[in-house]
Amino acid sequence: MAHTYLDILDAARDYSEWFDRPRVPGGPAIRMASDVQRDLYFKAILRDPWRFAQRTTVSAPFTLGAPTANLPAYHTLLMADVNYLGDTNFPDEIPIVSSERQTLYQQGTAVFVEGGALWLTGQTDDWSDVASITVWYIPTLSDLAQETDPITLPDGAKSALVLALAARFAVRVNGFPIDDAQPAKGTITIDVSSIAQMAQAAEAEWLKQIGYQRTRARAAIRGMDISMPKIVQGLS
Amino acid sequence: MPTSVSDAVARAAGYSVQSDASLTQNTSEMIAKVNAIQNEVFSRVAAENRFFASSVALTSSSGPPSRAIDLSVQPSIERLFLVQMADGTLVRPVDIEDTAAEIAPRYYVLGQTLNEVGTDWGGGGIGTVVFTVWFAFTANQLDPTGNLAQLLTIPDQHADLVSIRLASYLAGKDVGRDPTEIQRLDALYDARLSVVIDALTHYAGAVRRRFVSPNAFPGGSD
Repeated sequence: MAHTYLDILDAARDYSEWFDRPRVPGGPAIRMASDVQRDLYFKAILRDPWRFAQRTTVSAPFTLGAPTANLPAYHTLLMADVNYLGDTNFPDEIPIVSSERQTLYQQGTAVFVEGGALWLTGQTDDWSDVASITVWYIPTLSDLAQETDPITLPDGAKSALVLALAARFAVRVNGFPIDDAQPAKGTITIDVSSIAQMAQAAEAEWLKQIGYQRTRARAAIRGMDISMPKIVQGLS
Repeated sequence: MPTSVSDAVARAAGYSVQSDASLTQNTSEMIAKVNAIQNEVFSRVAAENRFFASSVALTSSSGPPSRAIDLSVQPSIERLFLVQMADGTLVRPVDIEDTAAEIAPRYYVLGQTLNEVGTDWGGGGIGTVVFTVWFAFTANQLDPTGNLAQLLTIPDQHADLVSIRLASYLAGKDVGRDPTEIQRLDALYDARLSVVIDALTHYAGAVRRRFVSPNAFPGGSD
């Protein structure tokens, strides 16, 4: 079951009676949650770039010498391939090159990106038999905006998310006056390090799962590493 | 049988043999004082529990530039504690100087007007919206120009609070009284109020709570 931000928020608030809404209002909470999710997302894609990969397809006709299509917001491009007219079952991978290397592909099919748009190298003839280009990418992660927003990370990351958020709540409220109107009541004391340790352990456990799952996927194809971003090849 | 202002005044006078009729002869004064005492009791109770609570559907202005809801049409509001859109979505209270404290939809209150933050209430900030406003209510306001037969809102079993507080007022008003009498009456009132608040709080049973709610520190109840 996919979790919503509210599921994570409620579970994080459970860790202390001091994590109530007046002390951790919805604004700071959702900004912290967005940071926490993005932090875990980046750590996860370092271990398995394909975990959150998506694809977008650009169909002919193409434009040369100008952007042929705008790409969705992405963190990293992973791979591109072309599908040929009348032969859609046998796509060919093409290089994703950096913009300054485009001239090396004046006689071939490659793509490069400028300003978030996809550009093509080569000549018109190079693309005349291409029906479409598919680009795989790791999408950027949007900030959470509503309590009903779905969490991008999979269910297995719930504990890591909840505890990381609770740890930030703890840092926020630790030292707050218990009662603004009566300072003599003292300040809130929370065992921040204990929550932080639990958060670290949950994060390590989840990242271990990511690594394990990726290892299993690689083993199934006899050592070919399908997880490596192909952008490396394009730059080589 | 509901308690009237006249009942409360008579009982207050009964707390001291020194209270003669001259102390309570000004009807308007007595009604205004009883009214203030009632309001004080309801205000204290509202900070601790939701015994005196109700809800009302209120319609906003249509905007643009910004929409607002006039709370003064519901004069019995003592304290807001929940505002919901028609579909049940929680509308969150913020301070006008710190609207980023909460996520949309939000409102801030200035005076007795509940104001939209940006276009949080949907529809691009255009058109009326209907909110359900949950609030702790205060007492029905007594008319100082009316008569002593007006009835108190406070339940009969707790109406002695009004008499004790009024007795303290009468003792203070009667120059020359033993000052310890006022102290004794105030202590009696505080003790009785504490018992009343406990009684009204435990009415709802042992509620499970994750947080202290309602809470009385700035920012209001959750």
